[in-house]
Amino acid sequence: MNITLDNITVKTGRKKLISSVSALFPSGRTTVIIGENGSGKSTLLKAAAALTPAAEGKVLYGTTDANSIKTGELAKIRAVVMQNPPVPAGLTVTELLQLARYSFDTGKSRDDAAIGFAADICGCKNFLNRKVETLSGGEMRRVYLALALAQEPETLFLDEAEANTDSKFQTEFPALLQKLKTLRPLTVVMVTHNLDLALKCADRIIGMKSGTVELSTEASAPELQNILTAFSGGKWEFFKKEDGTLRAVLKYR
Amino acid sequence: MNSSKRFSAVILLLAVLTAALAVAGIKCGTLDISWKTLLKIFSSEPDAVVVRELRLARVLAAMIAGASSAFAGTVLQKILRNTLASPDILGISSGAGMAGITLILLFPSLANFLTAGAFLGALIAAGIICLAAWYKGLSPLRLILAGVAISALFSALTGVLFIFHPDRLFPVLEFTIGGFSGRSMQDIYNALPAAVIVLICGFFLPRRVDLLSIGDTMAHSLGADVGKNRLFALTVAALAGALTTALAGLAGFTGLMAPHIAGKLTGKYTAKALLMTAPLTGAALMLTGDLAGRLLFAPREIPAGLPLAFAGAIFFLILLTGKSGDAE
Repeated sequence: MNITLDNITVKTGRKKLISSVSALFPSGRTTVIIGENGSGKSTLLKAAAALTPAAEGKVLYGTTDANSIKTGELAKIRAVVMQNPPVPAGLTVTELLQLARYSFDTGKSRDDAAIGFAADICGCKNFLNRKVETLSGGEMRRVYLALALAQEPETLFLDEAEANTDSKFQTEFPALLQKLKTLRPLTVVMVTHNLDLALKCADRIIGMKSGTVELSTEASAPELQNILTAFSGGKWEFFKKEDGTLRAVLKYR
Repeated sequence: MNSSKRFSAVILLLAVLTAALAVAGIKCGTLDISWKTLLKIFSSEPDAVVVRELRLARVLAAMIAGASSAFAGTVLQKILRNTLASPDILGISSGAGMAGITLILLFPSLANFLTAGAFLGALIAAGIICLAAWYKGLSPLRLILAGVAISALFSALTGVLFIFHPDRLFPVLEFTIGGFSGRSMQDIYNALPAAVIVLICGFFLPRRVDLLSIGDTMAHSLGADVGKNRLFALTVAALAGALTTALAGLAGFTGLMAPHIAGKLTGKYTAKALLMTAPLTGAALMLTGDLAGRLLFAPREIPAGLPLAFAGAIFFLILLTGKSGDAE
């Protein structure tokens, strides 16, 4: 299912967070949204995930207006991993994961299977009985990723899901995404600051600045390095690995 | 012992404890009731009627009030994502209290309508709080702030009523401290409809309330109608809070303490688990408060709200010392 943003504007009060933005998130591919703080990338993600209504324009899931889809139905087709969701007091990982099946009436064994599978893939098996509030940052992020996957979504929205976690999680994150995509057809829409991660994971890259789309390109485009150098204002240095893949390194002053 | 065995064991223990406290509550006091009289408590003998009106009524009131206070506390702590939330802190209790006190002072002949009045007061208070807190939806922080403000307002208004009716100070004072003296079986009958409604609504709350505890965005993305669920939960909590106030006056702390104690005992903090264990704990707490109030300074009786306040103080101190052990 392609997700299309058709000329959307999202406001808070009277201020426009994103303005007349059109974008396409093709089915089965990974689109990465990059940009500085305040560029509107998270707003774009939330609008695409139908979590925030658009003041103008339309968000289309396939050919259907996302706002006309009921919340419960949306939960069956898309899942979101936010950066720092509130941690539930006293709940164990399993108890939290069970909430993922809230909108499903598939019965206990089917639900348990989905949860077990998701927990397994995300590497949560060892701490299923621990209380979420006792987990480390990386462990908690794995749990929230499992929570999203337990919804068995077609589309996964990730809002800086790799940020503020331990390096173990960060280094394993791209491989985890890749593994997910081999197991089921999955559309991924990812927001990140990390250009290197974007290069590692993206099929398409969208760059936001001040609430509008500045660049929109295939990751395989030959001039990608130039485009990104210009976009990032020289903050990242690019190099090609032996196998020809483009990577980036942050240029510390 | 695995977690579900522990859970069943704790529930059983709590039930037994509550039953024992209830029996003790009926038997003990300035006048000790014999076992013989106790066993005939539901008969139509004059002795039995007296025991029912004097003792059974207050024991039942303590159990219902304790259970509903704990219920309200559990729901509020989840939906406000704040483990210190309780019907006392929000305006719910003070709204119900204000209505109750208004009835006592200005319309003493309408004393039978205390439950209904308290519920109306609680709903009005909850309504005002929601209105005051609403800004593009109801955020937990705004609800808490509005609750504290409304609570303070109602306390002040109550004080004004006090000043203008100094002759009726004592019953109002008793109501403010909270207790079960003077509860009659009629009060229990009046409270039953509300109690049944709370019980039935309680079956629809567990997952909705757990979802709210992981944040509005997450709850929304998992398919919950956040606004509707929170409003529903708040209304049921308000009804439960009003029920408590109608039966126990402004006796506090139970709604705050019961969910914590219940969670600590069972190790289970899901809404489903807590909505089973906290009301039992709350009933036990208020029964203990009432019993302590009657026995500690016998033959004088102090209102149950006082021993409960002491327990509340100790509870907070324990919480404090517990926290200092954690690396926070």
